[in-house]
Amino acid sequence: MKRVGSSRRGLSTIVTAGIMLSAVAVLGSAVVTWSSGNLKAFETALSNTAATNTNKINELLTIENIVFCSNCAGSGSNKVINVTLTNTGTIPVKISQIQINSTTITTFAKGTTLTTIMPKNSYTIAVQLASIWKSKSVDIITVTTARGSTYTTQVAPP
Amino acid sequence: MRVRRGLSTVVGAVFAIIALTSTVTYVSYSMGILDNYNQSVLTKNQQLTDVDKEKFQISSVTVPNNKLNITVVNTGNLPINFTKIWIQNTTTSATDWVRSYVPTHNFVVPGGVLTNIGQNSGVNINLANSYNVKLVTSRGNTQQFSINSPSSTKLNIQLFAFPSNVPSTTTTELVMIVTNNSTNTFVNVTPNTPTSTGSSTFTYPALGTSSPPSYDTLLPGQTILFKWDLTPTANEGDSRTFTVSLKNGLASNTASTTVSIINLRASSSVWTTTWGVLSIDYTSLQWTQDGGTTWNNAWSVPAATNIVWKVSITNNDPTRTFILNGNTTLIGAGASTGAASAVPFFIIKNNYPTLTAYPTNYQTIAHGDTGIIYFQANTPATVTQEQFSNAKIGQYSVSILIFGYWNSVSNSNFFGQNIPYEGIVVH
Repeated sequence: MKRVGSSRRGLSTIVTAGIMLSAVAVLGSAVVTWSSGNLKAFETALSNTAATNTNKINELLTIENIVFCSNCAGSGSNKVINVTLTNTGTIPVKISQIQINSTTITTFAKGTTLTTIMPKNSYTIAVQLASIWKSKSVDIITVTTARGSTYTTQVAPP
Repeated sequence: MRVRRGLSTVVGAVFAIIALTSTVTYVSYSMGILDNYNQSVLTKNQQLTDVDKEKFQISSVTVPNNKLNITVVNTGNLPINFTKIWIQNTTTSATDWVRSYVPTHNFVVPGGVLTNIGQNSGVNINLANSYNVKLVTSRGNTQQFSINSPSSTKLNIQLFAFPSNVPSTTTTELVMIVTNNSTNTFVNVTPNTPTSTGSSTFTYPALGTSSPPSYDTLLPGQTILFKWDLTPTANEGDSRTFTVSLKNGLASNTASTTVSIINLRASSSVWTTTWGVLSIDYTSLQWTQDGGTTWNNAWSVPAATNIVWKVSITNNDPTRTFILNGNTTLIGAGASTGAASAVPFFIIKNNYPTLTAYPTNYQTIAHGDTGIIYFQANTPATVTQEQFSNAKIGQYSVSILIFGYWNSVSNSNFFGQNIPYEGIVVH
């Protein structure tokens, strides 16, 4: 005998729907989680890159004065150049390298060192050369910061 | 009838909302980061533009009381704050003498003048030494100048003698011209006394200090001038080459000029060309006895006939016009037995052959010009004709006595000259 106005689904249909729902939920959640993680990573990378570049842009260093020192590393030895740097930017600047004519300086006299210069401050680094500086020659002094900015000037010893 | 959505639609919608939200959040964040970055670029660009726009000029530097007194003009569009002054003693004997300090007077508005920079410093300047001074602004710009020491830059130096050829014991002037063709400013520029080499018989009093002894400031592009009076005693043809340099200047930065001795001879031609007055072309002295129809320049002149003379006179003065006075005369002075002691022919108006008495002051000769003047009258300001009578036959030397004024008839403008001589024989 057939009932009128009543419909009944089969058990298999319900089970199938349940399985499909579960699969969609699990896969969807996984995709969302994965995407969210990726976006977070992209955000972080973007943030770091932007911060680095912004800081690099805000960095402003001036090679204020150069003095060729005649007696700074012992009597009569013209081996030291006093390089005065001034931070005219708005963020601290860490000096990471000084080169004289493309030679990286590793020795510094008078207790000076590669250091961080705060905004509006100056610092004099006594750069010690391997050999004496030569009068009337043209020397190229290059200062590199930790953020990768380089500042160059040319000088001629007296 | 009831409409029911499937569960899958709801789940899809949830996922879509999550994805869209994430994307919008990421894009917004990225835009924020880009905006910050853009602002930084703009700020840095503005800073660099400001550095470029910052301009100032050192207008003067003096050292009163052994302290620097720098005056600076802000020639740019931005206010300037001077943050430091570096002073380095560049005297050879000084070793590593470097000072830096923050000036008290340090702010100047666009177009403004900032004075007394350096007066508050504890650094004493010894003008016997040379220094390099550097001004540093808050934007990192610098400008440097030297005190007492053009040793770092070769200046344009010239030396002239005015005149370079002089008679012995006559004063000439050595003039040293120094032009600063660098971008540095020099302070207390002082010349060394000129040295000389050359003829040993060329002697002169010590030249001593120049006039003026020094200049406080030599700005970029500026020219200054020093001079010495030189009075040599020497023989004709002697010469000496004078060389000048600047104190503390580059050894090769010198200039030289040679002064030679010439003697002036007292001959008429040298006098007239040297002293710049009146001279004649001797070949232009001519005479006529037929009313100007025939002009003769033969030295043989017939007696007993009225004579009119003409001659070209050149005014060698460089600037002044000469006005001939009526006393101007051609005079024949007897030089042989029988000749008269003197036969004068006074000037007549220069409209000959019309005979017109000469006004007191009339004919003019502009500077550098040549004029023809006529002589005929036996007394001034008349047309009474003169001649050599038969009683006056003989040899004569003819000279011209010129009287007149420079530019205007005035007691302060008198000038008289005798131009000798031409010989004639009256027969």
